[in-house]
Order: sequence, then C-alpha cells, then structure tokens
Amino acid sequence: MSDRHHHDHGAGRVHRHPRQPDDPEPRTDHEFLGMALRALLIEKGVYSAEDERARIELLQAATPATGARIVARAWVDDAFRARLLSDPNDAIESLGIDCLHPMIVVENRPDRHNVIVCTLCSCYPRMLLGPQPAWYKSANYRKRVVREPRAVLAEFGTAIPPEVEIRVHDSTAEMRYMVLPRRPEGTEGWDEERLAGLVTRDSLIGVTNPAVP
Amino acid sequence: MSARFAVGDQVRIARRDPRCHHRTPHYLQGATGVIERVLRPEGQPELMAYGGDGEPFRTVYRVQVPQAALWPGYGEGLRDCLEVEIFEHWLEPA
Amino acid sequence: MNEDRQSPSGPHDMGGLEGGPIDRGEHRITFWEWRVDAMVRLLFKAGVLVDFAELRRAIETLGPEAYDGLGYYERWTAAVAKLMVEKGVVSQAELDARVAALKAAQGASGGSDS
Repeated sequence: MSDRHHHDHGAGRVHRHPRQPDDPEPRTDHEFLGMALRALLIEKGVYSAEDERARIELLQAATPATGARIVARAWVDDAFRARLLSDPNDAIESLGIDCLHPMIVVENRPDRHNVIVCTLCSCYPRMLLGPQPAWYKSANYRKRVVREPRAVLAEFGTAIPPEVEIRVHDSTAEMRYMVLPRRPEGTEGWDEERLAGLVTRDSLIGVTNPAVP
Repeated sequence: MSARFAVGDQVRIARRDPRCHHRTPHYLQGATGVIERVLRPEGQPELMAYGGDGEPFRTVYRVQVPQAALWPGYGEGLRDCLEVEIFEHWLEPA
Repeated sequence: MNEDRQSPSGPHDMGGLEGGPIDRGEHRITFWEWRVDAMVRLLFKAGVLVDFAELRRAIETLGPEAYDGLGYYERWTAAVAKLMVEKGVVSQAELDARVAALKAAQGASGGSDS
C-alpha cells in the first residue's frame, strides 16, 4: 500500500531528463488528477495559491524536534511531566506549541512499554512529530504490531524483556498519541537541549528507545 | 450527556461488521475488555462519513483488552494488552 | 478471535492479519504530495470537507485493488476527487478535461526538450 510507490508514468510520457525529488510536474495518472483538481479548486476560489504555499510551509515546519522538546522538558521537570500525562494539551500548549488535536501521552516505565499504531488508517500527531514515516503507514506494520508487538519491536532492534508489559495503542478515533520514553541512564546533569537530541521520532512512536550514543 | 460506563467496567465490543464506514476494528469485535478512561462525546463516524452532523454524539471510551484474550497462543508477555477508543454505541455490558 | 479473516468492512481494516517484514526505508515527501496534503487541510479550513470521516469513507470505498495498489497520497487524491464531484464542487467532466489538458501541455513541453 502506501509504502509501495508507483512510478508507472501512466501518462505514457517519455522521460528525457532525470527528475528531481521536488519536481512539481505530474508523472502518474493520480498526480495528474491531483494537479487538475488543485487547479480547479484554486480557479473556483476554494483556496488560493498563496493559501497553499503558506499551508505547505506550516506542514513542513512540523518535525519530531517538537515532540523531542516536550519529552526533554518532562525529563527535567516533574511537575510538567505530571501535567503532560494528566492534561497533555494544556501542558504542550504551555510551551507555545499548538497540537491541533486532543492528545494522550503514554509513559514508558521500567515495567511497561508503549507503542502506537493506527490499524484503520494512519492517525498520527503530525504537529508534534511531522509526517508519518512510510513504515507507519505500511500494511505490514498496521497488520502485525497489534498481534505480535514483540516481534515487530525486535525488527526495529528493540528487545523488551518478557516481564515488561507491552501496551499497544490502536489510534482509531479522536485522540492522537505520543510516547513519553524513559530518560536514558548516564544523562544526569544534561540540559534540555542535549536531552532533546536523544529523542528520535521512532522513540516517540514507541518502536525504539532513546539511547546515549 | 451522562456516560453509560465508568472506569473499571467490564464491556464487550459489539460484533457487527457493517459495510458502512465505522471506527471499530474487525479484530476487536466480540472482544471483552475493561474501561480504562472515559473520553468526551463525539459525533458518530457512521453518520459523519456521509456528510451528517454525527448527532446524537456518543461518549468515546478507551477500552483495554488483554492480548492473551485476543490471540490464541499469544506467547511472551502475559500482561500485554491493547488499548483502543470505542464509541459507546459499540459497547455492551459484559 | 478474528484471526486471519478479512474484514467485511473493507481492505483498510487490516489489524491482526498476517503480514510480512516491515520495510523501514524512509520516503521523502515530494512536492506533489505536499500539495495534496495542503489541499486536504485547506478543504477543511474552507468548510468544504467537514470531518475526516468523509475522507476516510471515500478512501475505504476506492476498492481493494486501489487501496492496496496506490500510494498514500494517490489514495487521498482519488478520494478527494470523488468527494468534490459528489459535493458538486467540481464536475467529473471538468476534471477529465483538465487532466487531458495538463497531459497535453506536458507532452508538448516534453517534446520540445529533445
């Protein structure tokens, strides 16, 4: 599915130049359809080219660095951590970050590991983590992680001991989920910025744990 | 709107498999779990998917289901569980 | 409980089915995909789309072949086009004509390259 990206040049066009990743020219039938629809919507005044530019800029500004910043704050500030778990939107907005969605933050503990999926589509906290990775949208991840989370985590190089509980969160409805990973050992005295550098996108989804390099 | 279920209540997720849009995964239909959290009422996806306003809104719950009950022969991790949001009209007392 | 049974609700409802190894390769979102992403957000902002459930329903009814065969933003595109025609924002004829015009224009500019 989404991880399979077709470049079938459905328009029957002969390519004479290598294409750049940002090349705006359509290639597949669906790309033509999308650009035709876009042109019509702009002509009809549903939105403007300027709206589009601004929105793309906003979408591109969302990266996992935002989630990492939230986690680093929770690691150094117990009151913030408690608030992040009990009232995530309030806590996150107090850092000047807009989530756009009601959030649930789930905390990894010595006896519990959390992992996020959306089996029905690809729900994801875009404003905090940026775009979903392709594997998060893939059929194999969506099929398997609810049924064999330990095997899936092992594929990501994450071994969870049998005595540690795994909670899989199937994000199917209204809420968006982020994992609050455990602070790695050996980071005593680190400042927030340095700690944030340890927090990866994948650790915020729960398929890996942050580690000191 | 008052919620029909409270945290800790045992519930069964209805098995309906309708052909229309809905947000209750097939693999969880028929499963029994416990209410982990009561969320707010939301528009019914079955209606909103077709342009409706979703009224009457239904309370959404987070339901916790043990993995061992979902998958026969689930191996390691006896305490492993799954948590999912389910709309009230998909839940029955168990 | 419901293992290895296809969901009657559609190909999107795949949790718990047998699957293969996960491809962890990264995909860089293309400019075209950003435009489609922005289109969906702006249709919500304009009130043309009201709830994500509409988009999900349109994606889920593309048919199993399209659901499994298309990329993520290709599915979004097909679904949004379907919804825009359904809501009368654009007509199918307008859309077809514009696709043909874009293809012709690109064919012409492509031809002049050589």
